[in-house]
Amino acid sequence: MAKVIITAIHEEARPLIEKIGLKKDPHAHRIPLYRRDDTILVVSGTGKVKSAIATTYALANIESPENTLVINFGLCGCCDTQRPLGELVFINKITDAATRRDFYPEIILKHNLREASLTTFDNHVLKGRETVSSDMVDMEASGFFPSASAFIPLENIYCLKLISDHLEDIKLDNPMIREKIETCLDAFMEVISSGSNLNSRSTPIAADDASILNKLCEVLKLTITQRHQLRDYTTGYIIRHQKGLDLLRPYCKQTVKNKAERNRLFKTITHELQSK
Amino acid sequence: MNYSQSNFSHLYIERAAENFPMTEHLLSRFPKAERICIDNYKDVFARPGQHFQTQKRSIKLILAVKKDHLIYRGSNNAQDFGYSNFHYNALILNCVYNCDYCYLQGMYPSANIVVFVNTEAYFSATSKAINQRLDPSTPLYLAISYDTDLLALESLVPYCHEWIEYSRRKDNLLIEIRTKSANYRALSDLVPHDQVVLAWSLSPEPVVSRYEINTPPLERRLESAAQAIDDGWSVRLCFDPVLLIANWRESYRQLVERTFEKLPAEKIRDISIGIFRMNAEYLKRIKKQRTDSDILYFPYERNGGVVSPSQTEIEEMNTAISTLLEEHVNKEKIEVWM
Repeated sequence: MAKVIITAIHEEARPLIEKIGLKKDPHAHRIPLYRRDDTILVVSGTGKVKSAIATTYALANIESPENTLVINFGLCGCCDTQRPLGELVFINKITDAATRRDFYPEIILKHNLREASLTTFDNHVLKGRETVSSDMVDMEASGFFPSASAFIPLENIYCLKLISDHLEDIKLDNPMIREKIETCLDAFMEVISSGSNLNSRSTPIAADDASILNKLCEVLKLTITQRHQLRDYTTGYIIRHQKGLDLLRPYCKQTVKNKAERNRLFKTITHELQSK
Repeated sequence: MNYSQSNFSHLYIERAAENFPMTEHLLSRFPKAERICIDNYKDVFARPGQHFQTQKRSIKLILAVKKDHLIYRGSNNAQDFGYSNFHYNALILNCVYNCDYCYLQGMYPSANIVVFVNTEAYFSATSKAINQRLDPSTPLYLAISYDTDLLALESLVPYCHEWIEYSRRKDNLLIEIRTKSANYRALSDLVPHDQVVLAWSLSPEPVVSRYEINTPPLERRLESAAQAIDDGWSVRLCFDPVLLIANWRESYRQLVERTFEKLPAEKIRDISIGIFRMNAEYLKRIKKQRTDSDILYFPYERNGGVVSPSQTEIEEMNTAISTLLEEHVNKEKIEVWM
């Protein structure tokens, strides 16, 4: 399963880059992007707009959204002083402070983290200066989540946050951030590993059958509607008969000269696929 | 290894639903569940991008207040058993079972279960509907387990109890509770009365095991129905949906035979037969999401907005099953959905 990680700043990303062995993509100039095998990490910059842009940048051309996990990972402030600093939490509700709009991550994955609600603000939040109705605060999640859900199935989108402060006016330096991130890396990797095993959506059309279908669409010059219909009929054929699409191979060798011929052949094929 | 959360791992609670007794009851039933406060149940239930079958792996509970449409007039597509004042309501949205052919997959955007907790408002709306019913010569016929299976959830959400007791106090009201569950014991402490119909949906065992995921086996449903009859409840049997499976004749013959080995035919209130049919748009939506059940990909015929086996097949199946049933009960007790 492919993994896409979105962090706001380099200091949050660096321990992950080292742990996973990611390499900087020399072609990504405007938004820093690191990759290794099926894992990508993007450093968005601070704020929800930058997070939305970076998430879109990373996901817009994903080939197999069903087989992709996307994770927003970073530091957050916590309103509850009982919660320890350095705890990694799984966010179950994201509120955008400016619009009051709520987003609800789909939590199907079994995990060992505590969950929390989070509000995304446009600026740093200090204790007593803002009314906060959620457990955590950050500056990215409400930009990340709707962008990610435009491309990736809901259950594959995680927002994991590390409690860095209790809304005190403390400036964290880089070594401090690194130290905090390193303490939660194992927990983070465990969530990703479990998520990779939760592959939820599958297709009965195997790779061989898919190539037969593609070939058939090409040689018959099928319309978009016919392609959809053909996919529907072939899916039905495969699951009703529990066998592949070998019966379509002879049609892949045929040629059609005009629309009428194509439509006739299409009708023959669909009739055969629908046979009871 | 199971990588999914358990069912009801999360409770989404509308602010307006917080102080209702049913909310407190459910919160006490799931003390370890994550509690997430929401403004409107539709914010969770109707959010875009949900995947019904994925959510079935870990169903969440949403507690809400139903603000309008507390009772619906039955449509022409529903079986009314000759009652002109046919109505239904939606006390709960969705079902704990996961039948392959279930239209809820296409009707609702989510597989999560919504429990509407404002029962008193439903009772008021029902009283009003009784008073305003079009045909005062017959009672208001109200299906309360229409787009859900209330009895399956009774141990958790005791709405059957509440409605059976409510109907006992109300004149001119007849309620139907339809179920696939074997949970009759959850009602066995109640004194039976004749304003309630307990209706069991029955399918051949090969259909139950292959297409009615998480439902009790046929034998246990029959045992439940037998106990209900024995205790004095009015029991309806629903052979619905009848599926055009391979060997359907033999499967349904065995079903009818087994049913009347277990149940006294003379004590059955009535029987309905309904061949599989589904709103074509619902089926289209379901097929977009799932490709794992042959019953959804059968080459059905589309007639208007409804898909079903061909008219010839429907007639053949209706006739065959009616004939089998008529060996045990009077023809007048059988309602065939055409």
